[in-house]
Amino acid sequence: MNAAARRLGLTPGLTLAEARARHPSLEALQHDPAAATERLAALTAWCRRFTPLCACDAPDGIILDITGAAHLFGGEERLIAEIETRLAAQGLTAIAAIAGTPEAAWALVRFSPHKIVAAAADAKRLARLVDSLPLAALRLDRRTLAALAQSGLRRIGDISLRPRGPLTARFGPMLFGRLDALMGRTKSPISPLIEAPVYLAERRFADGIVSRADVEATILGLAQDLAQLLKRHEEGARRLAVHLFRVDGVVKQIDVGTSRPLSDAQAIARLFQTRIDALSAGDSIDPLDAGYGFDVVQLAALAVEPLEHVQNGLGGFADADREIHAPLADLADRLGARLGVQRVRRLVPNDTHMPECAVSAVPAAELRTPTPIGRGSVRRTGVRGYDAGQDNTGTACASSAPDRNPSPAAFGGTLSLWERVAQLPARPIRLFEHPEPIDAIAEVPDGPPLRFRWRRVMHDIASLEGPERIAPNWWTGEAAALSRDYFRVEDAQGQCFWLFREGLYGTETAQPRWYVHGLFA
Amino acid sequence: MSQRDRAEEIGCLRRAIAQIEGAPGQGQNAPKARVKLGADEGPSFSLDLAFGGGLPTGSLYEVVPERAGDMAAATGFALALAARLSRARAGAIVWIGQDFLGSEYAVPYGPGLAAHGLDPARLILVNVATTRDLVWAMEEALKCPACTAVIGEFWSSRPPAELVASLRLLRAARSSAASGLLLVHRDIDFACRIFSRLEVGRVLARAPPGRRKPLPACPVWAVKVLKAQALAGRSGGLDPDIVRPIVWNPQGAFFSDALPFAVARKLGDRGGPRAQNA
Repeated sequence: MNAAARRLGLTPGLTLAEARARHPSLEALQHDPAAATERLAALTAWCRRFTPLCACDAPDGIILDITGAAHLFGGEERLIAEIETRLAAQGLTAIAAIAGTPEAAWALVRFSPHKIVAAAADAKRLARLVDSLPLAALRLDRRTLAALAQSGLRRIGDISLRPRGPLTARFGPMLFGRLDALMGRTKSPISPLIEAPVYLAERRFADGIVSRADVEATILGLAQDLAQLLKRHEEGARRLAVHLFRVDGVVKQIDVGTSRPLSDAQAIARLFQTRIDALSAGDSIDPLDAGYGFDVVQLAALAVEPLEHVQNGLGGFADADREIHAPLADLADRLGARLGVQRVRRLVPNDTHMPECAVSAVPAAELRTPTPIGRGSVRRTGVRGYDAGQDNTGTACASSAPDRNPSPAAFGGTLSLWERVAQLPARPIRLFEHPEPIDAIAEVPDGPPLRFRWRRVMHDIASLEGPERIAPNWWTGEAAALSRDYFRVEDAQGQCFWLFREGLYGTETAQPRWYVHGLFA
Repeated sequence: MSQRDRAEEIGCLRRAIAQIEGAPGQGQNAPKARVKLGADEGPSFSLDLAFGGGLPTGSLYEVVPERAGDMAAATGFALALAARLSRARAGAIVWIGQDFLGSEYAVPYGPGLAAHGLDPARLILVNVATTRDLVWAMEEALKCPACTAVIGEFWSSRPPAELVASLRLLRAARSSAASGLLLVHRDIDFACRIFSRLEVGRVLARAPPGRRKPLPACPVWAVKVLKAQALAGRSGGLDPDIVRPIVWNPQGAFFSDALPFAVARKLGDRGGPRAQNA
């Protein structure tokens, strides 16, 4: 029920038919809790223009932690006025109040004509103000309130001076817990919707900016501010976000991730440019959807790491880093910004003999220390510093590998995993993620195949090598898995396949099935 | 506008295009660096001779399979080329593939690559959803100075052959020393004259008599140089019908001619090893 309806003399609890009878032109809308929650969350995001710490206070409130932010808006009165007018411009009726604790602010907004109580207000003044409020201002549940009312307790002043023991025994600890929180005797945190960024740069505009070029120039300017902050603290950003606050209350967020700590303004701006490009690739209409324009643009560093210092002039490593690792990290970032971080990956070997688990593709941004890429061949390179625990992309069997097996150095002596992998019997250059079932004909059930049908084409086998028997990881208790006999076969047309028969004939299964698992060069 | 004006204008535009196509990248007027594909010492290698002393880097090559079944051979050849190119210069190899091709035609497999002579630690795998993203990612990777070879897997040759996209790719390749390899599944003969095109097939080993099946032989690829645009001025002398049977040595990371020890049935039909004197 809005203010206009109230002016007509309607009250909550009136039936719709009766209300319509009084005022035929009445408009009634279905209550939609989900939409209301969503709208409140959006509004909370919008409130981040005032302070980074905003919490949703369902069903009808938003709590802002404005510690240290009010003076940016010219004091608390003006902040309240600005919030109320801006929300009114969006068609919302809002009441704002400022107090030293979230509970006190909640109570003031709903039950008190006084809207601002300074945090430093002395306890007496606060107590005087609070004592006149009804007990409902303590956010108690309805049954407790009813019970309190039956006992003749209606105002906070009725309980604040009474002995606590009997009241707590009868109405539970919540009663005085809430009162203490309200009075600031105990601290209660708010739970912000989004955690506060480590660093934040912000620009405000009297008139909204609309064009993409303006937005990008603003981002570059903000990136320069942010880069200064980062450099001063010798840190680099790993996750960045731009928040665009549209005049009509919509907030757009653009995220980018980086594969190394980044403190270069140009590079940051370029990443966002790529990201905006990617947004515009999806739909040809305005990717930013500026509408009436953005009046606040924020650039936040959500995650930072200490900058790695590159020492110059000592040996070739710094040179190799400057020539290879830095541009490569830039490339990975740019590709990741447009395509998604999960789509740019590096290969990391796993110490397991199951062919499909022997290698996992890990997002390049998640590799802690990049695998050295340098002059040299397979012989010299190894994987360093990859934290296997981070692997969340692997399959079930891949995730079981790292913790159960010793580290490569302890296991294989000086040989790296890739070197040992290269010494295995022939492995295909392309592997199917899921082995494809084939119809194979063999002379005897446990013998090599003669011919097979794959994707509706018959292949006659001209030459073959095998079997290479690979047993499942019996120690992990995968009882259902069967042994595989792998064959490398070449058909009459020269195509080379990696086939396997699943299950040992007689002991594991009566009808072994055949699959093609990979293709050789 | 009269007929002659129009003809003049078209001529002018053609010259401008030729200038763009022919102009080397920013400040690179020196002749292109070449990478010898054959062993560093020993007999010279037929593809090296065909390209005039090695494969020019900073260029684009289409690798197409001779038949649909030869895709794995073409993949192997492209990866071998990339391994050879990255041996000459430190840097990364970028493989860009489309999602559906990965599930349909399998994904590059690390252990197999290691055995193939390509260090998997150097490889960056990129998955893209659309051909448009593929071309974009390829252009970005080619521009990166830390990449030695960029392999893009295309379903058909038409999208990369679209003139604007391919010109952009070529300019990106020229501006850095990276070479682009376009692995094309389904070759549409679209007249795009700015890429070199190599066709890869398999040379069949003649089965020895007897009932027992032999071991699979070391793969011998039959490579045809259909177009060699990188060869400015010399392309006239290149015969696209010559089949060059070659083998790849993964340990030494070099190519060599298969002729000394493999008798190719294909060549038998063509009447002799003409490849040597190309």
